[in-house]
Amino acid sequence: MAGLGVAAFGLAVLFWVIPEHTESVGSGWLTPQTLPQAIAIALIALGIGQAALSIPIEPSPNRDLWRGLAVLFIAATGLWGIGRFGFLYAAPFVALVLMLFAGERRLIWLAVGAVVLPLSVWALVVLVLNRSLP
Amino acid sequence: MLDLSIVLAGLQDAFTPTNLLFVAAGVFLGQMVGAIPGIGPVMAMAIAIPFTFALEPLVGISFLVGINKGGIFGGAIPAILINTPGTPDAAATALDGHPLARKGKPLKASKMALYASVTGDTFSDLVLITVSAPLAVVALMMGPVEVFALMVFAFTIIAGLVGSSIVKGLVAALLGLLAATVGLDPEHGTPRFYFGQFQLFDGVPLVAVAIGMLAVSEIVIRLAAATGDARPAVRIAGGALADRVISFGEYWGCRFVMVRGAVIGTMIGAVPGIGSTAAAFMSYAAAKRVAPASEGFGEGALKGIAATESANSAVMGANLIPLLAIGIPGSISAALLISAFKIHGIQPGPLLFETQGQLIYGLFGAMILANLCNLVIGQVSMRLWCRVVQAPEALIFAAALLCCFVGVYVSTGGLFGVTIMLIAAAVAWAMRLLGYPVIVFIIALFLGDNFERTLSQTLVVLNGRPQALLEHPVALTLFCLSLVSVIYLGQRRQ
Repeated sequence: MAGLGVAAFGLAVLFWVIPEHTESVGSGWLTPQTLPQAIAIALIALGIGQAALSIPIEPSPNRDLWRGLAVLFIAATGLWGIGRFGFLYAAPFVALVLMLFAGERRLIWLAVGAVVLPLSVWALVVLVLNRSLP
Repeated sequence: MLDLSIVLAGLQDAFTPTNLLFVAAGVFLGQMVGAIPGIGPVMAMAIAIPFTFALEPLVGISFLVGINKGGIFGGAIPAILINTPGTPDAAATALDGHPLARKGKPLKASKMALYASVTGDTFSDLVLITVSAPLAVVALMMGPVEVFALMVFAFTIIAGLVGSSIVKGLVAALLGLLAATVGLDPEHGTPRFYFGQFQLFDGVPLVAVAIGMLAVSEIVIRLAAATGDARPAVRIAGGALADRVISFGEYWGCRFVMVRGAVIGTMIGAVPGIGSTAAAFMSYAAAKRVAPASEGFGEGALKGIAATESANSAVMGANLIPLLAIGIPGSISAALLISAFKIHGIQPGPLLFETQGQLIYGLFGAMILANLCNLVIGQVSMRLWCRVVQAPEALIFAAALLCCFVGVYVSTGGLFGVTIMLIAAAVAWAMRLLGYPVIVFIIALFLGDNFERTLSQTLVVLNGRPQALLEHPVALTLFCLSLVSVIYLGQRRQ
């Protein structure tokens, strides 16, 4: 299935992405499309080859799959929160949610992760390195 | 001809108080992250790169080299204490390190790992210093056709040796090259694949992608698997002095094992794609094969620890040989150093010795300095790392994620880079689930610009005539070797 996915991706790049997102030029051995087209064709061939060879994948536990998606969602939400409310307000929540999600329940470590660490990072960047944060 | 004034000026730069401070800080940080299973020096280097932007080039790169060297030794500590390698290459160290720790000699095992690591590291650094300049001279004789052929050969070797399947390795390499085509094309300067985002005119931000794929994807995997259980308690018992130190006689008794390990590690490190894990196991197997049964390999033999640590540490210096001589990274940490060089406007490759000779010799001095720092800091901080091993995973990875957010924001100047980081993390997570080697993708991404440029020059030189390749026998040989390696490695792996 992954091989067919790679081949389909190659086809999409070759017939849609490259024509829509590159400009045509009239000179030179190497046009903007040359290397991407060669890569797309190679991906199609390798994808078909991979599907034909049926190279097995080590299956991941379903629990880890869903939890991985959840972590990515938390991180993306955290990014939105940092952009909306600023680092100093959003980062402690992100850290706390992640630690609780990972199963940490000890108050001392939750306090370190949710308060001390974001404050330390903020102080290092803003006060010591003199750079700004959202 | 070697200009001694440049060499001396470089060494002078390396031994300034500022450089010494940052080298020591890098080694300290590297040992600490190496001691925490799951983080490792590669993730630490990726996160630290944006913070080196404010530093001088030599200081910033020396800091990263210090992290890498410290991390390679640091990975041995949890391998010895709790049988959980802090880095993949320390897995072999656990074979004899943990049994020796269970016999009540954890400090003895850790110190043997430290001394062997510094010995192997110093050996490969001396080889690097000796051969990279002459190799760079040879590389300068190569034209664009030869350089392009060498890059194709390097890609096939890396794709074939990293990961479980050469087909997947080649797919990862091609995806990396495709990602490198985002932005302005090098031949005509027309924008490609920017999807209406002007921030992509300069291409995908390399630092954001590296951190996303190397650090954030690992954080996602570790947090997903975390259960909140505390790590087992670690006891550093008092014990007799002989159980806590390595005598000179014990160190000298392992000299042949360490030299063999250092040679194996250096040879393997000079070849892109093989890596320190393979070097460690090969050295261990070689030492075990020639040792008498009374040595007790697998039951806490000091020579077992010496063999693995000397080999995996020797890989690091040798990894820089292809990077400095021809601009091709031999490992992911070398690829990250490319990013650090580029941040400071320096293009790695054979011209580096001519245009940045003082920097290169300063780097060599800093590497030797880092070995000394590794020895001293490892000696005094051993008990501290034993505590660090027990730090809760949830705290470590939540903190690392915040550092990734901040580092990418600071280096890319906005939240767009952080968005790219998260997208890259999702892509890497999916690649790892499906068995595609992320390392190959990253190396191809970092080299993609150069790859297309040399391809363009190759086509100009050949003037559209494939038969003109016969006038470039070195390039023709490399292309043939690429084909042979694909077939050979493909048959071995499938």
